[in-house]
Amino acid sequence: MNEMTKFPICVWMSGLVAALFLAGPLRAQTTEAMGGLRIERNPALLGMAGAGTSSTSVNMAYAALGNPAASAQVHKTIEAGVSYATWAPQYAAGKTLSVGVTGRPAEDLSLSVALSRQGFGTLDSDTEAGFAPSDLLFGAGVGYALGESFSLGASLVYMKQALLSDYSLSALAVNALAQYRFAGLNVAAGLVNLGGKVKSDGGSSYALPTSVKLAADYTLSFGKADLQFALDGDYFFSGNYAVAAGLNLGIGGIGFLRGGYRFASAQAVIPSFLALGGGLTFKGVTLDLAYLTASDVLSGTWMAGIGYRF
Amino acid sequence: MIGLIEEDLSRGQLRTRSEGLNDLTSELGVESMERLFPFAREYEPRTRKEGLHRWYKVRYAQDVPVTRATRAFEALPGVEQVEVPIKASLATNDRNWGDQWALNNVRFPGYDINAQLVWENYTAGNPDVIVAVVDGGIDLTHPDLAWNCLSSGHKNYVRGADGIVGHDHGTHVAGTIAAVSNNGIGIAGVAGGDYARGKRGVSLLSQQCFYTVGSGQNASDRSGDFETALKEAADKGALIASNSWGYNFDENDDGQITGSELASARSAHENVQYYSIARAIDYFVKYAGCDNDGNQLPGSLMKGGLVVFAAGNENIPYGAPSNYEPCIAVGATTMNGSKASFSNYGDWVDICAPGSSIISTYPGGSFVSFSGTSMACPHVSGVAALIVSFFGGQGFTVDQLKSRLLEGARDIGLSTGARPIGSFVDAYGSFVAGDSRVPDPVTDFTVVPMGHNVRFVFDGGGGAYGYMALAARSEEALLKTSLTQLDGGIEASHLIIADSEAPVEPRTITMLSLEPDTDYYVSVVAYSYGRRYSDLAPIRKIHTGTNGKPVISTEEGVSFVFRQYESVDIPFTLTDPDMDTLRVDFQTNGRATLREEEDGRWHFHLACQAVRAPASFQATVVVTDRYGAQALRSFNYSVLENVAPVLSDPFAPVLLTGAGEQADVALPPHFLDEDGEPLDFRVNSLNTTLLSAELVDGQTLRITAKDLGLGSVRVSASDAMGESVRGDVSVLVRPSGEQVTVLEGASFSDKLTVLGADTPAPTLLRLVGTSGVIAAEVRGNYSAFEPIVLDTRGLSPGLYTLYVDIAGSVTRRTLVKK
Repeated sequence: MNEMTKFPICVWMSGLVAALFLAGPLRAQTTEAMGGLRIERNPALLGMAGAGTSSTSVNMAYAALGNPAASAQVHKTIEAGVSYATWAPQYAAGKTLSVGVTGRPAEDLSLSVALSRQGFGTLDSDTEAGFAPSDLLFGAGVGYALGESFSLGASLVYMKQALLSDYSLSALAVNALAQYRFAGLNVAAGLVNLGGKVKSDGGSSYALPTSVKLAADYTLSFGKADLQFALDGDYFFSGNYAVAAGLNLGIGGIGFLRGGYRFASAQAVIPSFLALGGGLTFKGVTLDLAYLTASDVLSGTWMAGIGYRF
Repeated sequence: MIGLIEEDLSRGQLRTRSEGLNDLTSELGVESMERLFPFAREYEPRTRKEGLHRWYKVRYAQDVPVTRATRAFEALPGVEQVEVPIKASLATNDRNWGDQWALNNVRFPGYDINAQLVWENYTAGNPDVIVAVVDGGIDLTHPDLAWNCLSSGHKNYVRGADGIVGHDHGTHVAGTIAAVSNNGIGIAGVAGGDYARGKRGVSLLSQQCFYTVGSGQNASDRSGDFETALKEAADKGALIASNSWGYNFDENDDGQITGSELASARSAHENVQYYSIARAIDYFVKYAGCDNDGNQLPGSLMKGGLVVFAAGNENIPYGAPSNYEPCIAVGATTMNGSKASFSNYGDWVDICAPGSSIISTYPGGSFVSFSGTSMACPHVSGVAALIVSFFGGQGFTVDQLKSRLLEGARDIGLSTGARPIGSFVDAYGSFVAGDSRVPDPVTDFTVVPMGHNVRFVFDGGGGAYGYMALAARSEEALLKTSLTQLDGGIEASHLIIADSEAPVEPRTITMLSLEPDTDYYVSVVAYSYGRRYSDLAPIRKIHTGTNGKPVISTEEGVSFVFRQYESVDIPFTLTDPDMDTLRVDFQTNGRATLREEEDGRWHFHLACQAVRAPASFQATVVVTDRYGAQALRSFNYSVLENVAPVLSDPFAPVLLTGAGEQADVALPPHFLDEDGEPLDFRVNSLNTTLLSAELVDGQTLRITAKDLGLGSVRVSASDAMGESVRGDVSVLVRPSGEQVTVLEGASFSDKLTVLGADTPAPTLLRLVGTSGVIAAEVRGNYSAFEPIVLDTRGLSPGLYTLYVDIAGSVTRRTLVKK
């Protein structure tokens, strides 16, 4: 008798589960707002898959958008750079032009500013005919060295997205990092893109891609060659994470070969990819190139930059 | 003073030498004042002699109440009478096609107007007899009328011009009087001549007083001055005026005359002699066919004129102006010789004629059936025209015409009831009225008993119009009875020969429904049309046979099974060996019905019946003759349960490429009804801004695109029992060649709907943020009609790239999440 009553209940339960599963709507992921904040503007770092945030040997022109604390430990008077990239050419194909300058008005103080614009193709809409959305990024940072090995840095980043002719979004974010160096090892840690939330038309709020960052690099020298190991990790407040590991082989202080891999959780704002890069430097002028591959979305992305440091 | 006023008014000026009239003209806002009976040229002397020049028609401001205007004129010194025009109405009830039974009543012999004998023996009309149709205009070009219409003289009294406009009522009336006969077209008029022999009928004069404005449901009649039309008809030489109109008292237009309306009708009835129309009638009666002194004109066929009027259609005991004594008022009968339900009645109705389902001419060359005393009136006018055609000449007067018309009319039992409408018009009777000849008697006859019926066989002829067989229980009863009014208990059956010149030959009369098994004394008598009887044939004694049972015959079975939407019609005949009248009783526990058709057959009708489960019913017909003998027949039938229709073949999606494009979808192939019922389809668009849907020919869905997008049309199919099923037709409207459509356009919010290929195909969809994050990825077989619908509420606002790969063909769109 008991068997007879249980059987139909089991059938009913499995039927319900199946119905819920099959009939469930397709749902897009929950994403963080202003993902453009996390796009690397420094071609040298992009060549190492974004690793090397703690490095002081690469051009610091874009420190306002990266690690202003590291810039306080570099003994160059001024560093400037211009980069251009085509980001995710199979998808948004954003054309990114970035300009950055970092200077040290005092021995233990660095100041940096950076401006970046990412432009997209026109919308396919009768009402928005000819309108091309764009992202605009402006950052200003300061770094301060507390002794030979330790420095602090912070930057304020403003981002505006012009999405439709009558619709745009904006946000302010803060980067705050500390940098420490001992025995050839650079270590940086801090908060990146800490800021308020962005509201949608429907009133929902969406967080910025804020993360806790920990980065380290170490350089080995072999005669005229230097090999730099860099490792960056981000743990996002959204629960996502990303780890990037990169190599930078310097030859005679003139030529550089770079490579790296970024592994990110499925919903991380920047997905996984493999990066290849290279660079030249001569009399303070640097040329850098990065190319991304092994990624569903970012394969084919490239970035080139020219910098000057003295 | 009257002369001075007339002189002023004749100049067209409203200001006269009468200060009182001038004041009234100003007070009432009088717009025109003109003679009701206009100047009549050579007939002006007799017009003035009759005082018709003193009637004036006054038009005044619309906002002045009628009562105020009436009182003001009544108070004006010199005004003898004030009359408020009463709205006239056409005396027509209905429009039906039908046979020309009024001239040749096959189904109910004896209830036609008996004109054929006149045509054959006397005349079918004379073109010198002018019949004025005071009515709507005659269609003068109608192929069945034109030959008998005057070439000139017609007048439109509504529009004030000579142009006659064919009017349905006037044309119908004219056709009854004088549609061209024997011409192979349409109908025969009562006095329509004989086209095949080159003999024209009487001449029709259209005095148009009704004129239709508008069309369809908005059509209405405007009327003109009937008085003037009637008076001038006499001046134009008409001898007969046919007036199928009367005053309209149905003020609320509800089809009934009640309360104050009835009082108004009674008042008009009682005071008609004071109305201006009475003066016009007097004039026509006195001066038609005459000179100014009232003497018959040379060449005129009659001294004076006959005015014939329809009695009216309100089924009331009043009628005006038809009741005015000098007129002939005409009531209406039906095909079986009874009073038409609508006909007005009373002792003032002089005569009756066929007025129900009368077929006649209609403007445009066609023919229709109308009902009303309007249709009866022209039958009498036509018979009067036949009489004048034959008997007319110097010395023939309108009184002689009236005498012949009324004396010749037959008594068919209508004038003795509570609602009399006079005797029935009889053309032949009017021609033989006053005939005193007595037919030869029947000298011998034989009797053949058939059950309790009897057949008389004898040699008949020698000037008899008809024969009457008689049967009584005693010989004395036969010998004593008056033949014109038989005593009670005497049975009589007639045989009409209707040809007094017919040769002597064997004749047969069958007498039905004598008492079975009974002694009777029988005889036969001959009579003329004027009901002058010969002597009785020698009386014989007979004994009737026994009564036979009635019989129900049908070629159909007695058991039926059918589905609920079906109906079964079972014809059967009822016969009685004695030809008795049968009473039919019917019982059923279902919805079967029983009816008698015009062909005399009976039909047992099992109608569609809703049942929850299969059910059985029985219907029984019981036929009883006058002696109680019965026949019985039972029909058993079962009704099967109804099966609802199903959508057997779901609709294929429909693809349209732009606004205005249409697609037709045949509906029957998609539905199945096991019962085989015809399905009733209904369609409606579920996205009215995108699509419109209509049903074409009852079975085809026509979809018209109004805008781009994905929508659907709902189709429901119902069977005869009301059970239905529905199905949706998906419709995509997008430009030709477009493989991917985003319903939300360039920006979206909580939902993103992506329509793929026209047919299901392997599809990869990615929604990618500008940083490269894959916000959504969907793989599977999708199509435009199975769209990918993404819930995007979790998606942060920003720019996204929609990437759709359909079987290797990639489409990209830049979209904004707001």
